[in-house]
Amino acid sequence: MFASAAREVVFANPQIAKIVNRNFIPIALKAALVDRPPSGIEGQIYQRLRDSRPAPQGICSMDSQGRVIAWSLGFDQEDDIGNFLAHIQKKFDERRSAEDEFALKAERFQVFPTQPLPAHPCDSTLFEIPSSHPDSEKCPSEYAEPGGTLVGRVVGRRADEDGVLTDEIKLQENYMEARVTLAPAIQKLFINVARGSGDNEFEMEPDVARAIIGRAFLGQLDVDPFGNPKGFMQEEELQLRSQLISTNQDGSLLFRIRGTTHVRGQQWPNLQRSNQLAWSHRVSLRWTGYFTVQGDQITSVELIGKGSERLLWTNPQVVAKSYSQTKHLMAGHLIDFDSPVCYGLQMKLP
Amino acid sequence: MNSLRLLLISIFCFFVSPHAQAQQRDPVAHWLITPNILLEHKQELKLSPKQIEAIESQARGVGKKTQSLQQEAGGLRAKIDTQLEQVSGDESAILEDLKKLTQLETQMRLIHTQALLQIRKQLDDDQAKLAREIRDQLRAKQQAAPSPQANGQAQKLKQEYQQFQRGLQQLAKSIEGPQRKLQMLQGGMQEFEQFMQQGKLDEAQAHLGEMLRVLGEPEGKAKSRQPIPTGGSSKKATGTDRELAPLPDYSPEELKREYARIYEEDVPWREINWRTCLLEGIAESKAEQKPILLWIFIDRPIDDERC
Repeated sequence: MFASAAREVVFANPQIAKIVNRNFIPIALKAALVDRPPSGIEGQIYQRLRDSRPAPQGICSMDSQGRVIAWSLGFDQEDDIGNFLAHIQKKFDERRSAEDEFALKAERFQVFPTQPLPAHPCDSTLFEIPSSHPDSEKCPSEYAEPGGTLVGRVVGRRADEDGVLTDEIKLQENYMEARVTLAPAIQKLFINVARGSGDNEFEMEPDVARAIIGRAFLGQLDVDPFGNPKGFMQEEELQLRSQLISTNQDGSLLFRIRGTTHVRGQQWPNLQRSNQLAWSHRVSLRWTGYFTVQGDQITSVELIGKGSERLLWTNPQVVAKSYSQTKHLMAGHLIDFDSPVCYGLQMKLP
Repeated sequence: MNSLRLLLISIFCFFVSPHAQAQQRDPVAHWLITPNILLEHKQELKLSPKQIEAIESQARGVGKKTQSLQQEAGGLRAKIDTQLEQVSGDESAILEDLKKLTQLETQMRLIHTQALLQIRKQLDDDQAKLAREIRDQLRAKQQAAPSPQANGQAQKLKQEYQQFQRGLQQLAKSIEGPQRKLQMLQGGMQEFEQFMQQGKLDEAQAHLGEMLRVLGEPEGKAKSRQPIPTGGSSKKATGTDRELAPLPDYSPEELKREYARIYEEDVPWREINWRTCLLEGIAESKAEQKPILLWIFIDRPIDDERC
């Protein structure tokens, strides 16, 4: 939730984006790396983040020695985002001329500037920090898919009753993008059934269908109707059919894909307790498109899905009258829509 | 099957006499508090957001660490179960499996205890004391003699639970890989446990009824009789309540055009040129004399696009 709110409220603000690009070196880091720092000097810098963090996720700043300047988890008002950046800039300049570097402290704010948390003493050891990873070493932030994985992207947008796509694209409940991958084992599942079907139409295996359309939903990660079913209900009806329609000049096979998918995730109906969030998400889509298969590999996927989506996501905090999302980035905001939607999916071998 | 076995064992504790467990004080159970009690009473305990995050993180960590162990232990229990069913079972094989099972259970208990210790470190002494008091009150409530009405309800609950248990066993035996439904029911049972621990029999019964309904539905074709909560929205219902409109058979070129119509290159959050390597970022900060701005969050912020 924090990440989605930070992107919507902080980094999608054009003025903030301009300041960040001009005055800062922006780095996006995985909380998991802060949780479990890698080895070496880089790990020691991650450790500084871990030691000083007020929460596992947040917005933070560092100087050129990898020492934390300040953390913040929220901002009183929209203007305070810019004020926080200016504050960091000032502290950064002060540090460059600091006489006693060992007296430095990392500032921390629950909400900037009115809710400071106790400052954290800086580890001021000056490391010889390498400027990059040696060729023989992979950066821990890099993520590589296993060989043969088909990689692509699904994009989705809300539309009105006439099918006109919304122009409001800042919020993920209106416009989304997500990475989609198809592992070799899943591809094999499809190809095995296809081989046994000749040119007859066949039903796609649920695991293949799930891998293909499983990220086609609006909203932040937390509202995934396919998500981890622990603690809530998840229901699905996946009926995607495929049929070989032609052989291309290069010998690859073209399959037409058609079908419908209905997915719903929601809390157990009896659990909507006052102190917990309320969540339900249904996505119903009709799909059409193509798979291209070369040998034992799916080499491309192109699909369009159209239908409707109903999403409710809320908690008592976000509906309180005094609530400000800038102040409580962790809490997110109320989402409540029932709307026509369109999705497009493209995948190809990297 | 594995998770099912564990699930049944964890739930069974609600129907056995607590006196059997209370002969000698278990120091871990006495001094350490489970995360569900802390999180359920977070306001009363005045837990800070950081404490809540840390407790939740520990609880999640235990799940991850014990998942494969639980599966292994479940497999062993099933094997022992089958062996014991046969009067002429191989005694040495059974004892060997029991030994392995005991080792796994010890390993899991250590992981749980380690997490509980970490959670204890998150609390100050007053919070820990209050949490123990709350837990003891809950235990006392559980052990108090129920009213005749509650007795009847408990009896009904027990019968429904036994029905659920039989259904779950059948599900695990009859279908290969009903993992999603099993996981879902396991998650639901955790909520059931919480209701039971809190003595909320009405909620527990309603919840068990819903799980029985889900249990009765075929895998992957489940249809809920429960309407989706509307949250007070007055918008008209769509989707499964009305037919999905037909789609034309787009040619590959038309599909590309449709995709391009939905995709938006110029989104505001793409304006910032995020780096992902900390070392390279620090080097750049030195070279350009600019501070580093870090956005730290769960999952893959840049390459995964959704957050």
